[in-house]
Amino acid sequence: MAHVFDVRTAIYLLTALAFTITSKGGVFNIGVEGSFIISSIVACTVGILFGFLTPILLIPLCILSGIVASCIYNVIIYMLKTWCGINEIFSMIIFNYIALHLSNFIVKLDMIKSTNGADTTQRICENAMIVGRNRPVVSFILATVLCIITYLIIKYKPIGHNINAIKSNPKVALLSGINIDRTLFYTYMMSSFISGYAGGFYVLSISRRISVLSGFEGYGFTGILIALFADSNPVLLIFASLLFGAIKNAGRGLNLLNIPSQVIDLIMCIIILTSAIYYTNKRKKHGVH
Amino acid sequence: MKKNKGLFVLIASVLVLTLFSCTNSNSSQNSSNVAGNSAMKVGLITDLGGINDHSMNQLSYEGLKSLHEKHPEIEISYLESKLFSDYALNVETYVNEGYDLIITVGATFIETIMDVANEYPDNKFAIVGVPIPKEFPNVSSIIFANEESGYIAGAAAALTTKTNTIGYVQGMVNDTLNLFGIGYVRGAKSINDDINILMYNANNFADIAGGNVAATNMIKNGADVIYQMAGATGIGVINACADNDIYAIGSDTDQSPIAENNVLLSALQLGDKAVENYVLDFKNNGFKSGTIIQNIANGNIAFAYNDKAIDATVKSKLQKIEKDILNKKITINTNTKDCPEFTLDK
Repeated sequence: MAHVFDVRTAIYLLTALAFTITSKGGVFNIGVEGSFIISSIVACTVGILFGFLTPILLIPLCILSGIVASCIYNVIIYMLKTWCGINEIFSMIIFNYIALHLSNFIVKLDMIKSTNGADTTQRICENAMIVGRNRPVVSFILATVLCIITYLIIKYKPIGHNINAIKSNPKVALLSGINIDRTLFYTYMMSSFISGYAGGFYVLSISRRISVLSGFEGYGFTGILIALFADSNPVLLIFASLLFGAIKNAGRGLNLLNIPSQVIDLIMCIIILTSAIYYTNKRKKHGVH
Repeated sequence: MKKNKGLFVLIASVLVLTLFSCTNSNSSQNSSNVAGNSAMKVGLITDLGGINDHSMNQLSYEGLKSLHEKHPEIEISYLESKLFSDYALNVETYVNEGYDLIITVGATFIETIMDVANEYPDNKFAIVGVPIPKEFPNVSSIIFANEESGYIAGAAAALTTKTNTIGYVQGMVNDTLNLFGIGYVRGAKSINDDINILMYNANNFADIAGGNVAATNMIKNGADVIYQMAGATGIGVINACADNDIYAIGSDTDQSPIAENNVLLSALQLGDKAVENYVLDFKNNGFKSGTIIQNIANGNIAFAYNDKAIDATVKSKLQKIEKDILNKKITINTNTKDCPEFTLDK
């Protein structure tokens, strides 16, 4: 099991959840990747600089700072949308790149740069690390709980009804007295809370340091894939992320058998293709295009 | 409809998960069989570039493959790192599978190697391409004297230029790669002290268009020989040189096929031979920790001259410089502080 199930499965679940929440409100949140990068670099910086604190203080501080950074990042995108009328997909894609290069810039700051000439930050302090052999399971359970809470909120709380109303028909939602801007703001914040949590948790539990990235690592993008595969249903996300986490990690086992790990990409493509055909056929049968 | 979707995702998940649990158990069975034969096992872990990066990852694996053909008793395999967090997991996988030697590639691996060297003192590690700043009894690093490649390239550029302006494009700024640039400056200055050197850091190894733009800008500013040390970005540099009919200097592999009339020479780094020799030495003489330098002297830094483009007298002069480096008549000062012309790290 260790080959296919690790903490990253939980990370994929969280990023997929972050995407799902906004997609409930009709926003295609491609900025999950960017807020993941920003929150992880901020959590990593805090984890290096505040090593004198005890773990009980430091771990929440790291994750909180990651969440705050991710929220600020998404607030900027939100403001660009509501104040300047810039399409959020447009600004999100650009902000992904801003996040990537900002992260690369921060990694190279003298304060946190590796002292050994590597293109990475230093390791976070012992006190900030989340350790333990069962952390894949615990983190996955935590992420699952978050998923279920989200599902309940969207299903039973007024905010959930508002989000659904905005998605299905924004004009009617406006006329029936729903404050669209505020509702969208809440969904953005929920989404950035979760992607920020994912970024912070990723640094503290597995990567322990951030390297200079030459391209996107794809935690957010895989999350989007999972969310689309599960048709944005928070409960199905749990199974879909188990599946994709396993596929992504299984490359190592294949390599050991001298099979190229690109086979993994093939398998993923086949799954996505078949599911796309399946969903399209279903929609055609019901007369929805 | 909703129900069906759920069922679909569930069934797909369960099926593929079962599939992978099967492959998994198979792999562990295989490896236990191999361990029974007590064959020597060597594993290569790539950095994020992947196994087909046309650079050090690929060269290292080709070295292992050619070794495996000559010595079939040496088991080889590789693990690709797709994400930064794969590094430690990949090392762990090889340690658990009982590999005798674990070879890693690239500067991003330094920190991981320093962690695992302490964690698994009984396993042997090697890192290709970068020096390890601290001595470990179970880590050796195979490094290249990049400044020698750069020195010859600089001398070639200075001997060929007519405008007295030469260019240099580097893929990323770090201590290992900066050696190329410093060598280039030193080589050019050794021929002509007043030479004007234009420098550009592409900060990307895969941006062909960016390389093209950078080289075109240099050509506008008068450069007529450009050296590229930038992976695929450098292909764009060579293309721009061919378009403007000026000279280019390639790196890593023989790049004259890209532009036959424009590539003067390519500074080769024979990573495959270096890794092959290293593993063979490990097999025959046991593990040696510390730094193993590959340079002109032991033949793993070499130059592919393109006779169609390079002048015969220039070529013979360069070969003489090569000999001088080999005989230690020329020593290259690699201190960045003594080299104000090298501007990329400022």
